[in-house]
Amino acid sequence: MKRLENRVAIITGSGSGIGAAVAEAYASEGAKVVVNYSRNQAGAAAVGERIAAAGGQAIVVKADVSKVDEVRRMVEQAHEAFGPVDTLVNNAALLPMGGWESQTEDRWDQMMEVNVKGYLNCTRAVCEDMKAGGYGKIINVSSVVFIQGYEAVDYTSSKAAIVGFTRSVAGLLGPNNICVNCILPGLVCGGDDCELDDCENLVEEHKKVIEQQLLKRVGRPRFVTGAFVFLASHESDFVTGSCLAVDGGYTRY
Amino acid sequence: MSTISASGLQRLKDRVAIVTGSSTGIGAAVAEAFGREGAKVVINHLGEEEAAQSVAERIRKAGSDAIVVEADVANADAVSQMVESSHKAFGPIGILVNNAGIYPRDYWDTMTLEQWDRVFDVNLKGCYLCSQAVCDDMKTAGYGKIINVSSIAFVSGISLVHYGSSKAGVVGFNRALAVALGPYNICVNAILPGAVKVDREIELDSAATREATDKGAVAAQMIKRRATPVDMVGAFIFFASRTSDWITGHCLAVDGGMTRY
Repeated sequence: MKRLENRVAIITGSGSGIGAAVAEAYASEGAKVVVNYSRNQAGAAAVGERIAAAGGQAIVVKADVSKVDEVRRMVEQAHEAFGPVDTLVNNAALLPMGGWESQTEDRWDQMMEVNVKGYLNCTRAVCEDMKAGGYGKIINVSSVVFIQGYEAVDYTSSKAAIVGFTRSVAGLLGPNNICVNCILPGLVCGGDDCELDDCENLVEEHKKVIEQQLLKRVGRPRFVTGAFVFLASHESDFVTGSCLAVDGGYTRY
Repeated sequence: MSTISASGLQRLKDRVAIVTGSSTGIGAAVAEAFGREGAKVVINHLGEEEAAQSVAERIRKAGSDAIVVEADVANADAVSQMVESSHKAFGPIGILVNNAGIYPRDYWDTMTLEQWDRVFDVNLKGCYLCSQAVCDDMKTAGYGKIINVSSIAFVSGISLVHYGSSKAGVVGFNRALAVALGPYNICVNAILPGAVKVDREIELDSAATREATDKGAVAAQMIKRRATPVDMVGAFIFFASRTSDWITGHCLAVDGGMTRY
């Protein structure tokens, strides 16, 4: 039995990394999947092809989550292809671009536009579907930097904001039976086809993170997909407003 | 809801699990769910043989296997005998759910030292004794899952001070044990159930108290319905199964949004 049969899921930023792995995992559990990208057209197309080749259903949609109009068009395309959306994974985010010394106001604003307002835009665009359906699952990707802090101040602040956003929206949408939770991935490196050799370019600080993990394996996208399936499935219908750290025991939150 | 883990996925096939305090309530629901997922389950209880046997019977009917072992988790000898019985029946233990706990209505003004000690012995020391008794099996296998049942009382506090303190102790134990056993690839996680409607409420609380509990819980939760033990089982299956192999030392609240932890 598949756990996401007949579900319609948008996974933002699913052209590579965690987003791509989640899109493929959802499709393999029977969900109809919207693979979203903003710049990584080739990656997203490849995810769509892999899903189709495995017998799943997916459409690939370009949208910059920080643009309300583009998000609205993405949801319209989801409606046309699959019907109302009941599952949203807010994953699209800018990665850290530098520490405090290089922090500029422009970069701060850009980080917040995508990493925070992008989540707001997508959540608002799909929550009417979920309210009408009397059921929904929203999974926001934050980060362990919310707990541990990190030198990239803009990135860390944006990811902490997502925890507040999750807890607030959980309260707003709970009466509609919509669960809103947060996943805090630890250090997740590359694709599942990335060999350890590719990790030679891990910077020193990443090696220190792995040193602090209780499970010493380098994080892979496939290590985190189980948590996303759990929080999308009926098995977590009484879990909302929670943070789930998937980090090899790095934070012990 | 009762079908959510009757999935035929067999995610715990042939795994051996001890679920302490599994004759009733959350423990019984978890034991049954593990059985449906293919695990061989040790049903543990204290003075509730009949209820424990009926849980075991339901697991056997669902096509897996179970034994019933009475043991006070606060008693080291009883715990080691429980593990011996488990070995004889099923072999090495791969999953331990430290669920046995008590929630006596002893209030601050009249609480005795004996009452405090008993709550700590069962709720916290029981986790320690059972974990110590099974962890060699897991070390040998190079893999294992320990799930500690804490409570949202860790986050929000509670007027039953002994209970709240013991369940916060479980979170500390959880994190420390995760550190100790991580190198052996043993994942140790805690589940923080919220307000769960269990049969024990009917035994111990007046109708008026139960009604107030219902109203208070639904008001404080974001999800506007009372939870029953079945609402908890998905999280236990998740932490017991392969899909959570990169998660350890974590606390997950399953509380309908009461704490937003």
